[in-house]
Amino acid sequence: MDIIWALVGFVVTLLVFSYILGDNPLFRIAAYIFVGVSAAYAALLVIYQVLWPRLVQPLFEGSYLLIVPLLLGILLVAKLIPGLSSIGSLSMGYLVGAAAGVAVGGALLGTVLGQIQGAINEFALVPGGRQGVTLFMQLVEGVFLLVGTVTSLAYFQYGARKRPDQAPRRHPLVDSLAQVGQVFIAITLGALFAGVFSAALAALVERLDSILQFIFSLVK
Amino acid sequence: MADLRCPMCGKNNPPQAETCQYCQARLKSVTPSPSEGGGEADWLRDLRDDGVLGEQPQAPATPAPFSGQEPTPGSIPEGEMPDWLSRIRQRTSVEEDALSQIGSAPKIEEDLTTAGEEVPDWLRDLPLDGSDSSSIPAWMQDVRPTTEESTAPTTFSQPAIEPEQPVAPATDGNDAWLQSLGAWDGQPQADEALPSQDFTSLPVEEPSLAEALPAEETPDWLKSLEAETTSAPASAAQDDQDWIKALEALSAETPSTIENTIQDIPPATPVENEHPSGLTDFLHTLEEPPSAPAEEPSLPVEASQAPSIISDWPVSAEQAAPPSTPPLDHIPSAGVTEWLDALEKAETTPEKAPEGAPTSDWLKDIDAFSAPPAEPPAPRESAIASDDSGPDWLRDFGNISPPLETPLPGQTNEAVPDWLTAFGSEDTAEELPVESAPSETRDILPAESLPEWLRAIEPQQPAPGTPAFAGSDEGKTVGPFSEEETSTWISSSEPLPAETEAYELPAFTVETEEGAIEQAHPLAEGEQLPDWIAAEPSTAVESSEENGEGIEQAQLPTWLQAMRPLEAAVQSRATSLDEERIEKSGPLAGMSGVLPGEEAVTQYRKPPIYSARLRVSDKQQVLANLLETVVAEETMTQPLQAEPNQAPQVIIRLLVGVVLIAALILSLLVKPFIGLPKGQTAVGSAANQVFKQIEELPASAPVLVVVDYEAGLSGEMKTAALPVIQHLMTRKARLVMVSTQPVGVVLAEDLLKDAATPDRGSAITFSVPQSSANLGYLVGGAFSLRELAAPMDASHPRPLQSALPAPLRADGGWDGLVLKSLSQITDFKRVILLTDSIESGRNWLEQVQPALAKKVPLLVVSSAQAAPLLQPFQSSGQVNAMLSGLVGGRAYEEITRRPAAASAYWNAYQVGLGIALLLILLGGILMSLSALFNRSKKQNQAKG
Repeated sequence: MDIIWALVGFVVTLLVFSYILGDNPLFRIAAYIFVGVSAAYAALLVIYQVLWPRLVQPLFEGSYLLIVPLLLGILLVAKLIPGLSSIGSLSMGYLVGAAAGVAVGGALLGTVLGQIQGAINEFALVPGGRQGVTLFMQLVEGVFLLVGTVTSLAYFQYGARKRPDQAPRRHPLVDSLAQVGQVFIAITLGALFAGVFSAALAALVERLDSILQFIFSLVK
Repeated sequence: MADLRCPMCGKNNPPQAETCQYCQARLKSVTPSPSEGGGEADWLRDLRDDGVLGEQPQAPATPAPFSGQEPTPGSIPEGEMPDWLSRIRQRTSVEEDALSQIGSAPKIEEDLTTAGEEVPDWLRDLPLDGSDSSSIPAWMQDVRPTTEESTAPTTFSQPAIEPEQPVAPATDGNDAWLQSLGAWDGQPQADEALPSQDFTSLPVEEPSLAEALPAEETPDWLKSLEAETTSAPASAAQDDQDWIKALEALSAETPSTIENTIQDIPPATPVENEHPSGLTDFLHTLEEPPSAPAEEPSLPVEASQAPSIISDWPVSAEQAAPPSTPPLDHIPSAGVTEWLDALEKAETTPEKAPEGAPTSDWLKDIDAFSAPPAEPPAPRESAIASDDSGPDWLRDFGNISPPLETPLPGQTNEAVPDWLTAFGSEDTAEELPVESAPSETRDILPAESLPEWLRAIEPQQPAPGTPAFAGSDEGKTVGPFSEEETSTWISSSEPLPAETEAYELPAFTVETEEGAIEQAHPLAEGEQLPDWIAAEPSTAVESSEENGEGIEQAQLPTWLQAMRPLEAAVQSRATSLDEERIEKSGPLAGMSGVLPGEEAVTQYRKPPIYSARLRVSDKQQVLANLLETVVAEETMTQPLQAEPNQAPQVIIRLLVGVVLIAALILSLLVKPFIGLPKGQTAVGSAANQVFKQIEELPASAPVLVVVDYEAGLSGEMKTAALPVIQHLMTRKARLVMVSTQPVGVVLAEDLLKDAATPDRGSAITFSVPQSSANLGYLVGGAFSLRELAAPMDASHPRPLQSALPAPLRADGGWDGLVLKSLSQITDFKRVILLTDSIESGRNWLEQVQPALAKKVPLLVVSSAQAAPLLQPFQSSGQVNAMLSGLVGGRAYEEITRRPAAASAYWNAYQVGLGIALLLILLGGILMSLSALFNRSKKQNQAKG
């Protein structure tokens, strides 16, 4: 059985690798198989993991309060019908509103306040050094982090004063900070690109290793 | 009743409406019917009093058709004088010559008195004043009412007998006798068959003339004229007989016709609409009884001076002038010509009547008499002829002298001079009416041959507005008479009733046109309008235009013009244009009313050519050019840029791919030869922190492992997570797997399986089913995370169970060994987040991490692509330890001293990074060189 799945994995991997020659049917076949299998798996998972245990079964057990989410879910299906799409707006409104509230609250508490606190903590110099880092280096690191944060925020400052006979231009100080922040942003994007490439390279290596292992298994 | 149809807009209106409800046009004819107000409307009477006939305010209309005619006899210029008028004047000049030789006028009154001897007995018995109607013969009594009621117009309503037809039906007889009269004009022959009693039907003027000729006032010239005339007898009796004979000779042709016509004369019909024969309005007005005879004042009956025939005139009694009428006051004292003058004054303007020499008065009257059209007399003649019981001479007289207002009757009664007889013969020869002779005489006479008294009279003409005889005589009534035989004299008769007949319809008659006449008197089916009537309207218009000095159109008030019958004003004009047009050439020459083909051709005009060039200002031209330029630029084809050849890119891509894959495969095949940097495994490093957190776990500590990564990055994530999972397994931790992604459930199972039985390295004694549970898919994203992280309280005794009620895999479920002690998120000892995306990691950090507080360490194993964005959370302390990518896994394996997949992939991974670095550098160098080459090339092109 493992050999079969290993063979399937090997074939599908080669189909995906065919993309190195450009868009071709082999790659499309692999893509279609992946999408179809994922959709089918997701549908079964939702039915067996969500609808049945968390909606239908409780209804049968007497949790009639779940009719509300049931109706909201049915109304949400109406979004698929152009003539009845407006009916599903109620469910969509509920989802959007709840998601917005949850996201805002989480972002405020989890990201904004946390990042502010983290930026401040960089200047919480530890006299004995932190993780082997001297105090000076802690201060330099903190200043560097502060400059990077301020300049990066300044880069996204798009406000400009309107002047007669001149194009709108940001304040020179803000403009200079934005240019510095542009450097930090470029470094960050470079790091992200490096992370994507390293992640893809690791996946490629894993796939090549699997192919080699399959081949080795066949040889053995 | 049928609705009235508006002649202007054509819409129907109620029968009683006088004006159109839509266009306010007058619906009913302004022509007053005799039945209305005595045959005359108030407005018309007012108009006469105020304007046109203002000089005769108290002179009501007389039924005599020739009572008023256009004034100003000599107002027609010589150049515009028609031929007929010229002939009349020529004849008049001859007569004037004769008069000048005579030197004195005959005594008419004596002739009249002497003529009384030879007057027939029946005529002698006639009462002069008409009061004694019993003495009148029966035939005359029969005629009298007709005379009183203006029977003359009635005869007009009965025309249509052709001259050749001796007897004709009533409808045709009218035409016949009229045409016979026309023929008579051309062929004057004595007609003795004409009954004399017709003379009794003559209108008012005739007896008045006779009565106005006192014997002692007869001018000498007239007497001399009488004496010198070859044909004139010396005695009155002879004169009487001669002129009667002459008259009889003139009417010789149509005795029987006239008789028949007279027999067919119906009684006076009331109004216009009741005339089936299509009479014109003025004819109807002629039929009206003389309500207020205007001529009466001019006819002061003086029995001593008037002949018996005239004194017995039946009409004189009815026309006895009221004593208050001013123009007649001087008449009795005037001479022989006074009666003429009085007659003129009575019908024109008494104020302007010259009271000069008596010799001039009669000539003036002659002028006045000469113009009145001959038509009115014609019907009278027919009326006269209607009675056969009269004497022949009267019958002849009726044929000869249609207009009874002329002095002829009076003169003929006395003694018709030869000049007058000759005039009658000339008239017939020249187709001129007898009554027009006097005016012609005046005009034709040369200036030097005229006597002084005549010269003095010459400039004295009636006022333009005076509708007297003198004014209308020359201009209209005579003219048409000389042109045509039958129709012309009738056409000339139209103005007569219009303007003479009591001035009742001055404007109406002048403005009357063919259309109005036709509409006012619709013909019965099969009945054709006689020629003389057909020609009548146009002639009437012409005559009215020629007159121009009587009742002028311009004098009509606006309101009166607006009230004119529109059918006559509009429709007749449209039709008259074609009908009046006479072909001048071609086979249709002389015919009227034919198709205007010739004119249509000649009227063709070349259509105007309009310039197509617009006048454009400079600014508009500039803008137009600009627009044209813009449009032209849009339509111009832009040269397509040559697409870069895809072959090198494909080759490069293939080359890079092949090189990378080959290098990776080679790297995988060889043993690791690249060492791990010390920093990755040093104290305080990320891997070391994670290792420390796991090492601090107690035994069988529940650990929540969140598998939130995609299958595509499972190779990297599994490489990084396997050392950590294996470390947990070694620590006998209860692994509770959960995922916020559908595939995460399967990947979690695969991860546990691979961790328990790795392909590389030593196996771990870890029972996955018993020591781990898979809660499955946590649906809802951030919602489910918030619910999962909800703290336990009374309402939520087991939030974890509420969030994940049905674990996918759990030995014993929530009551099993793995999940039994877990109620909330803080019940886990460690929460390890395996994620490859920043969003998933942030959700957990935002929704769950605050709930964990600092009680439960949050460890993150992330992909290399999400590590840069999750690093700040580690720096901020929200994430206790983080391990990322293959490097982190390789470092963790190094720490645990359990080499696994990460160590196996490490060489390939490093080679791959090295190749990527080289390719990036090589690509950068090549692109830089290409840019430099292109720049220098452009510079060279710019220089060269």
